Amino acid sequence: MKRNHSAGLFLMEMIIVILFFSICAGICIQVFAKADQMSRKASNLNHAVVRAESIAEEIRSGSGKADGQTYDTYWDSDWKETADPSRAEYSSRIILSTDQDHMETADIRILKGEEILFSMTADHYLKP
Amino acid sequence: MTGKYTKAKSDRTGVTTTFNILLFMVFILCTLFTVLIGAKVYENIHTRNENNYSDYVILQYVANKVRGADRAGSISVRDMDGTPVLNMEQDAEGTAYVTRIYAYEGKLRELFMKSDADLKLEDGLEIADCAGLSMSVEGDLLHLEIAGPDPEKLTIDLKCADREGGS
Repeated sequence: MKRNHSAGLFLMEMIIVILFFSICAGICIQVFAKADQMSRKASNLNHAVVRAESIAEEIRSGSGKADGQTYDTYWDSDWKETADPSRAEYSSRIILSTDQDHMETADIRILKGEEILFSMTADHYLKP
Repeated sequence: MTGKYTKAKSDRTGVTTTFNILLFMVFILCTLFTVLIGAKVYENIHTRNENNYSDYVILQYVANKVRGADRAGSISVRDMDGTPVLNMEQDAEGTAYVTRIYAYEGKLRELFMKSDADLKLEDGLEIADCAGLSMSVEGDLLHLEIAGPDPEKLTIDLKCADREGGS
């Protein structure tokens, strides 16, 4: 009788412990997932900044791109350039404009889908 | 009658004990898996952050060096014993100096010397850990790429001064 009673007590104790553990594990896994997501975001931002910088340098070197046009570049999930937009996970959108003082302005946006990862504006003086 | 009752009771107690032990095992396994998942996630985050940080720092270091030494025709890429070397020439008080940046034996190295000095790749000052640094020049654009096991390779293009002297 006494043995059965202690087994029941242990069962109750275990159920309470497992319940508490499940709640803690749920919170922990949520935190892990969020940390992983933040780390991926940081990595993407790093890549986006360097890509935007490279695009600005290309424009500075005279890309031969026409004024007032929008240019897109696509990258796959490993940030390798691809010509196929359907395989692309990241893209860049560049809008070029030139004012009467010969200042060429490039609006550079690096996107993941429709989400803007990084955007910058680069100015370049064009020799008349 | 009493013997049968006692046997049934003893069986039930056995089942309860087995169930408790199984439940305890499940609990132990769940705890173990949670700890393992956490450790794996932490490892992934740490590796990703470290790669990101070191690759980014190396690229920015080289980019700043190039921008600082950017004179018409002073930047070139050479091949020395199969290793691509970024060569930046400069002139100080009539003496020609050269700065060489390259990845050699898992390290990013830098050599600053007189142009005619006979220094080898292994003589370079170690800057950071770097599996490899590939570089190429296309027109006035210098292309740098960090090599390594990571499929997400960090690359940068840098505009160098025109050979004629404009920028």
